Amino acid sequence: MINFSKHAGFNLSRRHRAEQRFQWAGRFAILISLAFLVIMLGSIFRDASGVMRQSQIAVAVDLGPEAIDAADIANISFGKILKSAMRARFPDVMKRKDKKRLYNLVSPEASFEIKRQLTNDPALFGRVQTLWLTASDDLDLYLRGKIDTSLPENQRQISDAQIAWIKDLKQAGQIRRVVNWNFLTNGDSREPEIAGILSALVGSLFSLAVCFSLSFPIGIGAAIFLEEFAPTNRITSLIEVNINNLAAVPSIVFGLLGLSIFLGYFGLPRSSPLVGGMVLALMTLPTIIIAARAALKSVPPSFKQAALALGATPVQAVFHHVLPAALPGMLTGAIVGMAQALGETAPLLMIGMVAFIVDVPQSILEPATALPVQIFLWADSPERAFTEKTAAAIIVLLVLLIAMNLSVILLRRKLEQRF
Amino acid sequence: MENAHIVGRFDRDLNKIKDRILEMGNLVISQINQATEVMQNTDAAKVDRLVATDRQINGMNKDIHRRAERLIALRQPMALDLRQALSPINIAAELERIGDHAKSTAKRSHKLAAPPKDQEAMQITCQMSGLVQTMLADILVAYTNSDIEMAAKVRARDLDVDRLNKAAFAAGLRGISQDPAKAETFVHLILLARNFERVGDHTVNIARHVHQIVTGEDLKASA
Amino acid sequence: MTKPFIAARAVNVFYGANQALFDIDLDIEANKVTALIGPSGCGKSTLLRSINRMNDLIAACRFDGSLQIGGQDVYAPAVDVVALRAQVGMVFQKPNPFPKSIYENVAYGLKIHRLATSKREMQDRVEWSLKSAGLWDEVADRLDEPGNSLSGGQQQRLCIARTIAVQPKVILMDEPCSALDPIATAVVEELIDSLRKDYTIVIVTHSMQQAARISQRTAFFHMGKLIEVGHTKDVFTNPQNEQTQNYITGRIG
Repeated sequence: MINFSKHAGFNLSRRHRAEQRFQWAGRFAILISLAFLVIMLGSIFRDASGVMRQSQIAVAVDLGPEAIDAADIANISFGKILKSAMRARFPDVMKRKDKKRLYNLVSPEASFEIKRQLTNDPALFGRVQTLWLTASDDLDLYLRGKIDTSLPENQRQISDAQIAWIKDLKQAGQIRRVVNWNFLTNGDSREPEIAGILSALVGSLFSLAVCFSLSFPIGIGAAIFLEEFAPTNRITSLIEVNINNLAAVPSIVFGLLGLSIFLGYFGLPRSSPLVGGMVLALMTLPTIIIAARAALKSVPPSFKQAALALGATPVQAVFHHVLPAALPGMLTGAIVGMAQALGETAPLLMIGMVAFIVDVPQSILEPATALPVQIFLWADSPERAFTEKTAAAIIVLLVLLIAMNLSVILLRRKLEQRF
Repeated sequence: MENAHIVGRFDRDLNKIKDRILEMGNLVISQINQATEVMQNTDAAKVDRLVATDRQINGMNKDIHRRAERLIALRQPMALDLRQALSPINIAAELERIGDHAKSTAKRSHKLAAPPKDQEAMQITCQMSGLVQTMLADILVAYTNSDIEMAAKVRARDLDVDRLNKAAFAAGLRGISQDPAKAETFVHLILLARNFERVGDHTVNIARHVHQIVTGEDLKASA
Repeated sequence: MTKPFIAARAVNVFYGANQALFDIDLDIEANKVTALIGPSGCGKSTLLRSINRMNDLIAACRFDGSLQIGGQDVYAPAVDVVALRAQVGMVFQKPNPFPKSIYENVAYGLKIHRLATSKREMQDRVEWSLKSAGLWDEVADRLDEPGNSLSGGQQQRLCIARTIAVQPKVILMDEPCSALDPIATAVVEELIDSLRKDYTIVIVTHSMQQAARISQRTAFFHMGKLIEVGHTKDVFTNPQNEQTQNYITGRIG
């Protein structure tokens, strides 16, 4: 009697149980990692949600001819105008300390906003105008219920008087919340309500561009030579071992190298994306070389042989047949390296890309900072509102990484050839 | 062959065919023997048995042909193997022809009113019969052992058969001239002797095949 | 015997410390198919790859002796391997079309050697090559499709077309049918036979039946030595050497 059932012996029940155990362990591991991912993304998005919108206060500003001179915008004190406008709204406020609190309802940047609006639209001159100005971060936090009003007054960032004014303004319809584009279009600022990511983003993109244009050609070239042309001897194996070791060198060491060589010896501009990109290129080179060599190795040798047998020179054989077949793999390696570089902080700290940069850098020679450094700086700031900025900046970084990976997948699909 | 094939089935199939050839050869020798006895003592029952056995020999020829064909188709032999696979077809065909001669000898002997045992031609013919039987037995041994020297000796002995045939022919002619009344008997005797001469020729053909199996050389072509 | 087109004299080939070929003297006649047979590791492929110097790619490989093609020494210092390989084509065991279109595959050799002066000429020569390889009727309307979209047998004929496009004098084939089914094999064998009138063909094959079917001359190698060479019809019916006999009849040799 032949028995094909699971009771046929062969230690089957134990083997099947082991099979099941392993599969469940695998599912559990995936579940755990997914849960952590969800928790991480959830907390980031929760923290970042505040950045999506910002609060504005409508202030009736006196732009009459007796208050200011329209012909001489540069010398007008918009701070003064703003302050008098605020006092006009709440005439009861008399004490110096209370006045200061009143002024603090609007962002310190608000006076510049008045100036900007006037420059854009000179027709506003000549009479009292109601303008929407950015509110302070404390007001914004209060509106979103992020400030615990049950605490004693001296332990919270917003006083009872301020709360009363806010309520009054709100009733009069003089407070609104709008979508916050400033985060993406502004540079950094000491004031969280107007601090933006653009300067750091541009700094990162400049650094990456420098890094890619240096490390990709050098890395690919080195990989091709080592894999296809270099004779196998002690020197090449020594080089190979060293490249593999370099990939494991802590990135801060590359930062030190950049500091002493690029800044100290060559005197390149400090804090510039040029130096940052060069340091990152040094750091990503081993990764790119190793990935490119693996990609070259995975190309069937038959292509090269066929080309050589047809009378192609070795360089022709490699560049016509091996390289196109290996390119998708090489690009993947390069993008992995770029993603690594994008998230790298330590070497940038060493070469001074940690500066407080308000203006968006216009070239790779201007001082700049990078996204991860910006995140680090904001996370280090005392103001409560910067927590949200940090989370939002992390999202921008993640979006950038996803975009890079996506572009590689698309590129691969286009380049990949069946063989 | 002492060095075996990697595929053992080939050797087993080939050996089976060789066994069939030996079986057929021994049967043919016994047919010649029986026919010679009929020649000496007329026996109608024996003739019938002989004819029946000849049919069996024809069947064996077909069987060997079929087996060799299958061996070639399935095993695709080369060189020596190919010759070893092909030769049973030829050898069996020769044996089958020898069997036919034995049958025709028996039938012709049956036509003799009384066997003229005392005639010289008859004695010579019997002598031929004995000779071709030993030749056949020897060539079967030579085939089994792939022994080309033995095969060469068998070929040489055919000269004796030819000489005896000529002697029988002369004796027959003399008998006709001495006793024209018995002319028919003597003509039969001459034709019987010729049968054995033909058997000798077929045996020589088998010997040539044995030589070709081993050396790959076609004696008929080079002759 | 006519004057040999390829003449190997006292050829010894070493891979590092291992000697792969021992004192090979072999004449290969023009416009004939010469089959190199023998068990694995017997050196037949090594000899084939010595003819177009593909062995040069192996760093540890050393060649000793003389190998002449058409009276020219292949291993002379003045020889440029690119020029050599342009005139001694090679077809490999596994069909290996480039991951490019059918047209590009055939045109590649013409392009690198600049053998066509105009687009029109290029097209003509690609068509001629595909026709010579008996592939034209099957691919004429899909020249833009990738070469590896073809069946195995078609791919191998594409590789042959690619090789003959540059019109070599000699075509070396390294077990060209070992990856093909019997029908595709028969088509390629028929092709090889038709190419014989224009090219000198040397083929390494594991299939003795194939060697018997397509070659005019057969050389049997064993343990790096040339055991026997002769007309195929003699080697396969009546080999002179016991080792050859044992090999071709499938005995332990």
